[in-house]
Amino acid sequence: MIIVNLDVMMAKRKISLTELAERIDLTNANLSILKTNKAKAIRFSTLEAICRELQCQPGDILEYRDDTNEEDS
Amino acid sequence: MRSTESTESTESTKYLNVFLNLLMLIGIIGLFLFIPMIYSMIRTKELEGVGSLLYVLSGFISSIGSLAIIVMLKRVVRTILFERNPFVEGNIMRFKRMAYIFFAFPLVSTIYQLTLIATGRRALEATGSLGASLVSVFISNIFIGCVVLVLANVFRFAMEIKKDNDLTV
Repeated sequence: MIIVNLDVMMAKRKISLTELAERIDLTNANLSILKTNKAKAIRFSTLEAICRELQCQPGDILEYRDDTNEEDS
Repeated sequence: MRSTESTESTESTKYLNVFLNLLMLIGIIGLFLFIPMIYSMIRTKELEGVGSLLYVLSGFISSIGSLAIIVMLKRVVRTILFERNPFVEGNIMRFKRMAYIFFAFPLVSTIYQLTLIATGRRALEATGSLGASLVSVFISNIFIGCVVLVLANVFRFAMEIKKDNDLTV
């Protein structure tokens, strides 16, 4: 599964959810959906805006985790 | 900010809502006038036998069916105007029910016409024109029913796309 580590990057850059939402022109609700891993998909334009504002790479925000072992156990 | 197309669509839906209200009013008035008309026909002995009973029943069933379609259309319009989301399970069910009512109309009409012939109230020589009228009723209602059924499937597809899109950031 894909994990969104937005909260980690936001903490590193010391930026609040509201401030980031304003900078990337997204609603608080939508950014919260992304932050809490509830999103089903992310637009390249949103990812680009987040990377631009947080000065990071997509890989810093998105992480692939193999959950087949977790499901088996 | 809402687009111009969206505002225009809302405006036209409002007019449609007013038109549907008018239709419903006419339908209800018609239904209320239907009952005293039948009563007077029974009193003057214009209505007698199975054919007459079926005449009343088919008229009543068709009126109720038409009213039900108007009510369902009004509920669909309500989801556009007030809830601002027509792509819901309820609307899919409403479209399906509307389609079934459209499919039922020609059946009611056929049963009524055949009973008229069977009870001798309609001359057999007139069955040629009757056949033509039945075919036109069949084709138009079944065609509309199919269109509405396709619309129900389109709405189901749109609902699934919307569900996905709602969680796309």
